[in-house]
Amino acid sequence: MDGLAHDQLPPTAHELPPLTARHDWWRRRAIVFGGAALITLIGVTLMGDLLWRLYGSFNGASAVLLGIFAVLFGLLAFGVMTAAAGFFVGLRGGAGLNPARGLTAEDLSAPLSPTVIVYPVYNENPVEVFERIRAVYRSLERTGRLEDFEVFVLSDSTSTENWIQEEFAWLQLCRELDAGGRIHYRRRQKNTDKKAGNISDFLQTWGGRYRYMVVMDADSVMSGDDLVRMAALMEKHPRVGLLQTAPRLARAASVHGRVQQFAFRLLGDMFTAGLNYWQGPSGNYWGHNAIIRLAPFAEFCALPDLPGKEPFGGKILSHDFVEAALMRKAGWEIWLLWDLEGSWEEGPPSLIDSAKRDRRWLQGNLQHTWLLFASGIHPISRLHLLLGILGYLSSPLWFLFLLINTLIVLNHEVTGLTLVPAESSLGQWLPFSLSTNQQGLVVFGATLVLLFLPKMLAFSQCLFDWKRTRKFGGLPGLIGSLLIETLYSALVAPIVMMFHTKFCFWLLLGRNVDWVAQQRDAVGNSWREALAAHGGQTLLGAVWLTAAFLIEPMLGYWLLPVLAPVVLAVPISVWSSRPGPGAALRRASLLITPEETAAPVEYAEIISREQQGVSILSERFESGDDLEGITRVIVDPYVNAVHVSLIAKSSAEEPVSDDDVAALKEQLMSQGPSGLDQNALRHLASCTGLMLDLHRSVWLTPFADLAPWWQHAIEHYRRRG
Amino acid sequence: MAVPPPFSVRVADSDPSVGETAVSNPNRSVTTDSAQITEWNDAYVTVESYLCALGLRNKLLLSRAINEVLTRAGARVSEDPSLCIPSVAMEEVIQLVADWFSRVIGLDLPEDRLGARGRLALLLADLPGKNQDYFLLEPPLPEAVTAALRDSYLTESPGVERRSMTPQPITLNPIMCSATQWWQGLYRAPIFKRLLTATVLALLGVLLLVFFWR
Repeated sequence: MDGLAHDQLPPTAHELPPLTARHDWWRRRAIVFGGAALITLIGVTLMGDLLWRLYGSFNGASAVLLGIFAVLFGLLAFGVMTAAAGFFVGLRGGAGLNPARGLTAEDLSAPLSPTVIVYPVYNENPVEVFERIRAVYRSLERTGRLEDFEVFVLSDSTSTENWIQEEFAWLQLCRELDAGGRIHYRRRQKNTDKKAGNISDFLQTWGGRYRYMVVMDADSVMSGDDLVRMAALMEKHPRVGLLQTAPRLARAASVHGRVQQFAFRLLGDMFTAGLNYWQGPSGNYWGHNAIIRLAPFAEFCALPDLPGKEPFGGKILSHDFVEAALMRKAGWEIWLLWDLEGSWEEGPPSLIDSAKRDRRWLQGNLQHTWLLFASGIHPISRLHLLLGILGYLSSPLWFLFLLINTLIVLNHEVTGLTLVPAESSLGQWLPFSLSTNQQGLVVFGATLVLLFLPKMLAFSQCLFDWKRTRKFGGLPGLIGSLLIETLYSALVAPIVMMFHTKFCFWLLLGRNVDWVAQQRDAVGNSWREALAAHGGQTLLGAVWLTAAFLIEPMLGYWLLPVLAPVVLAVPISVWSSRPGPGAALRRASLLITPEETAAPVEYAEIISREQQGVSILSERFESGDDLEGITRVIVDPYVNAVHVSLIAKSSAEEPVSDDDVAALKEQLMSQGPSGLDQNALRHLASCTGLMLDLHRSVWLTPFADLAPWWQHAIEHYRRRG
Repeated sequence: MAVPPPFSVRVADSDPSVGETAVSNPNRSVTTDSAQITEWNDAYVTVESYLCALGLRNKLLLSRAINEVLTRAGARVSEDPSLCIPSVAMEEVIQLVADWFSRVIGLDLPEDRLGARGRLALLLADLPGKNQDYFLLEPPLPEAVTAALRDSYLTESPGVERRSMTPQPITLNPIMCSATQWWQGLYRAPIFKRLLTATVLALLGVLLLVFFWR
C-alpha cells in the first residue's frame, strides 16, 4: 500500500514508458475522422443533389431531410472507418498497438498491490452470480496469485428472496473454496444512487485497503490470467488510471441472444481494435470488466448531481462515461485492452429485455448532453459522450426521416402538384452523367456498402485465418450465420427504432426510468408480454403502412422493408426470445462462437456443474419456488443461523411496531409467506429475534397444527433424509 | 429402538399452565394407545426431520440421537402428561444440540443465541459433512474438531479503511446552465410543462405546414 500516496497525480509523460509502442494519436485520428468526414461529404453531396433534382428546388423539408441524412450517414461512415482501422490493425497483428503485449515475465511475476474485485448485484439470480464468482476465483487460484486479490459482493438487492439466497450462497462459496476472509459480502439496506452509489459506498468504507479495483457486472466472468495481467499493467504504467477490457458475450440461448453474441464476437474484435487505434490513452469506461486505480478514481470521479431534476438532470444514470471523462480530465490515461481474451459478459436474452436496458441507457446518455460543453473535458471524451448520445438519437432521426418522406408524398398527392425535376448541379464536376433514378440507386447503394462493409471485413478476416473460421463453425456455418445475422438485424432494427423513438418522446414528457434487474437467462417472453410491449408499434406500423399504400403504392413498397417487421414485432419478439429455436440453430452449427467451439475453462466449469445439477444453493434450497428463500430462512436451521448472524452484524431496517410484528408473525404462521408483500417480508427478515422465534415456532408446533406451507417445508427434509 | 415411555393409557392433567414452555394439548383429557402412538410417531418424525435438516445422514447416528431425544421427552411427559409430545421432543432436540455445543466449546451464551451460534458453527465446521461422526458425541472431541467448532463464526468484513469521495462541481457552460434552470422551473409547475409541450408540438405542426404547402 506504500504507493497509494503517489497515485494522487499522474507522473509526467517523459518519466515513463508508453503503454504501446506508438503514440502518434492525432495522426491516426486525422485518418479516421478525416476519412469519415470525406465519406460523409460525398454522401451528403450526392443526397443533396438528388433532393435538388427531385424537387427542382431546395425547400425546408429538403433541408431537414438532408440534415438527418448527414447525421445518420456520418455515423455509418465513422463506424466503417473505425472498423477499417481495426481490420488493418488485425492484418498487421496489432503490431505496437496491443497494450497487454508489453508485459514481460518479470512484470507478471512481480508482487502486485492489493486488488479488489467487486461484484455489484441488484436482485440478480444468486445462483448464477455466485457460480460466476466461483469460476473467477478458481481461475485466479490456478494462477497462484490469489493472495493479491479479494472479492467483494456488493448487494443492493431489495427482494427478500435474493437477499437470503445471496447470504447463504456467499457462505457456501467461502466454505467450498476455503475462501473465508477473501470473499466478502455486504448488503446495503438503502440503495442510494444505484450502482454508482453502491461502489461509492464501498470505496468510502473499504476503499483504503486496496490500490486497484476490478469492477464486474453481475454477469461478468474474467480469467485469472487476465486479471493478473491487468493488475501487472497498472503496476507497470503508473499514469494509467483505468484499463477497460472488451468483454465478449457468452452463454446466450435464445435466437436474439445468439445473434447478438455472434455479431459481437465476429465484429467486436475489429471494432475494438479500431477504437483503440484512434482513442489511444483517451479511452472510455463501459462500467464493468475494467480495472481502476482507486486513488484518482476516489479523488476525481465522485459524481456530482446534474442541474435540474430527472429525467434530464439529477443523478447521473450512465455513470461510466462520465467517470472516464473526469479521470481523463485529471490527466490520467484510460486504455482499451482490446486484445485480452478472458473477459466475458452475458447479453439480454430478448428484444424486450434489450429495450428495457436501452431505456435506462438512453436516459443516461441523453443526460450527458449537459457535459458535452463542460469545461476541461478532453476532446476525445467529448466525442465518446457525443457518440453515446447520437447512438440513441439516431433512432428518432431515422423515424423523422421516414415520416417527412411520407408527408412529402402526401403533400404532393393532396395538392395534386407534380414533381418538376431539375438538372443535376453536379453534372459539370462528374465525368459521367446519371439519371435521377440512377443517382438514387447510387445513394442507396453507398448506404448499403457502409452498412455491410464491416461485416465483409470481418468475414475476410476469417478467410485470412482458417483457425478463426473453424472457431465460428467452419466456412459454411460462418456464411449461414452471417446471412441469419443480417436478416435478423434488418428485422429488428426498425423495431428498435420504434422503441427508442418512444423512449425519447417519454423523456420529453418527463417520464423517468425505473431501476429493474436485468433478466439474463433465456426463458422466453410470453405472447401477453410481447403484446404489451409491441402492441402500440404494431398498430402504428399497420396504420402507417396502409396509409402509405393508399397514398401512393410506390411509397408503400419503399416503406415495406421498415414497417413490415414493425407490424410483425409481436411474433418476431416472442420467437426470438425462446431458447428452442436458438438451440436448433446451434445444433445446425449456426451462430457458433469460439467460446462455444472450445469453452474457456471458466465457463466449462460453470456448464459442467449445471449439467450435473449441482449449484451453490442446491444443498439447502429447492429451486424454482418463488418464496423458497423466506421459507428456508425460517425452517432450515443453517440458513436461519447464517441469516441471523449476518443481520445481527448490521443495523436493522426501519423499526416496526411490536403489534405489527405480532400481526405479521401470526399471518406468516397461519398462511405461510405467500400472503405477505415484499415490504412485510423484508421487515420480518430484518428482525433477529423474530427470525429465531419463527424458526423455533415452526419446529415446536405439532405437525398437524402447522399451515400446509410449513408442513410441506418440513417434509422436504424427511424426503431428503 | 426402544419404545419411549410412557406408552399406556393415562388421564392427563388438563391444566395448561403446567408444562413449562412446551405446548399443552387441552383436548387430551383422555388419550388412547393409538392416539399416543400417533403422537410419539409424530414426535419421532419431526425430530428425525430436524436432525436431517441439520445434515445428519448416518442412519445409526440418527437413530441413536432420536432415541436419546425421545427418552428425554418421555421423562418429561411422564411427569406432566398434558404436554404435547412432539413439541416436547422438539424442545429436547434443540436443547440437546445447544447443550452439546456449549459443552464442546465451553461457551456460555443465552439459549436462543447459543442455538443459532451452534448451528452456524456446525455448518462452518462441516459437521453435516466430513465431521459428521462427531456430531453429538460426548466431549472431548479431537482437538481439530473442537477448534473448528470454537473458531467457526462469521468474521466481520475486513477492517474499515475509508477513502473520501467528494464530488467536484462540473462547470457547465452558461447557456446550458440557464436552460437547466428554466427546465427545472417548468418541472415545479407541471401545467406549464404540458402547455410548453403542446406549444412546441403546435409550432412544429405549423412549421411543417409552411414547409410543405406551396
